[in-house]
Amino acid sequence: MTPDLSTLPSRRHLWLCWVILMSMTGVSLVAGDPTDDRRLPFLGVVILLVAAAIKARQILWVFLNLRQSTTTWKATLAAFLAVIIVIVLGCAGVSALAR
Amino acid sequence: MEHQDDAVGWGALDSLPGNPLIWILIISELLVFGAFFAGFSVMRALHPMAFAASQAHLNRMTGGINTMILLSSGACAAMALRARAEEGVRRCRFWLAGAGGLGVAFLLVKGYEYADEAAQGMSIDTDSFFTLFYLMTGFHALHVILGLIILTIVSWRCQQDDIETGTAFWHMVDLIWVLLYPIVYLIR
Repeated sequence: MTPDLSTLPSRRHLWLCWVILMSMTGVSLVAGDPTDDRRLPFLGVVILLVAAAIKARQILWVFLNLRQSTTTWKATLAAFLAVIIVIVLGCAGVSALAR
Repeated sequence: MEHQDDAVGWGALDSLPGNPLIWILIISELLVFGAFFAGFSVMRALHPMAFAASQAHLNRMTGGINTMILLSSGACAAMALRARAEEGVRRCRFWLAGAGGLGVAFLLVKGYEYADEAAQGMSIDTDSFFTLFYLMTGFHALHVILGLIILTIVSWRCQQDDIETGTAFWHMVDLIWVLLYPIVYLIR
């Protein structure tokens, strides 16, 4: 599939995407507090995974330009992300309950 | 008959950006890393105290710095594809050089991090946390190196289709890291 200019995200859109990615990394650093070794509250884990999901979606939809692809591919990749996040969250939830 | 042969393509892969072959690689890698993430999370749920003690040896801040470096590199790669369509070869190579330079910076920070962990006596044999840590981050770093080689090759020819294929691989490397960083470094 050869891209033409009209199907690619605009420069403004790419910069906006980069700002969102940096902001979400900032959110991850605040929620995950890299300077503290204590266990995170479950809400902190949820915030980290939501920020990661937003970043992953931006990379897929804008940088990889998958918004131009078919609904099937978009749904498949979104489902892949959702499965990973549910597994990680589920395991973190089990740990939190066992505390 | 000849017309039918010409019509045979890559099926669903034809609607994805870049050469369909790169997507076979990208999907395979996503599944491999998906299994790593699931396995790591299950192991942490089974051994929370041991994982927390080992994770405390990681330099979480360098991981955060590397996240910003790699995401900026991905932005440069996306700019390169647009520049190739809009402004031509020179501008495209400028952005690809930026993407590659930031990729090298990522590897240098990763090397510093590995040296720091080695100085603390942490190796792949230390425990299950560090076995998984080195396998996942090392495998990812190998993909960064492969991505740098691919970016160099596509930059040399600088054809629109090749740039799209090379940058698709680079964004996959980005995508894996944004999931790996919180799962391995931050969740505890």
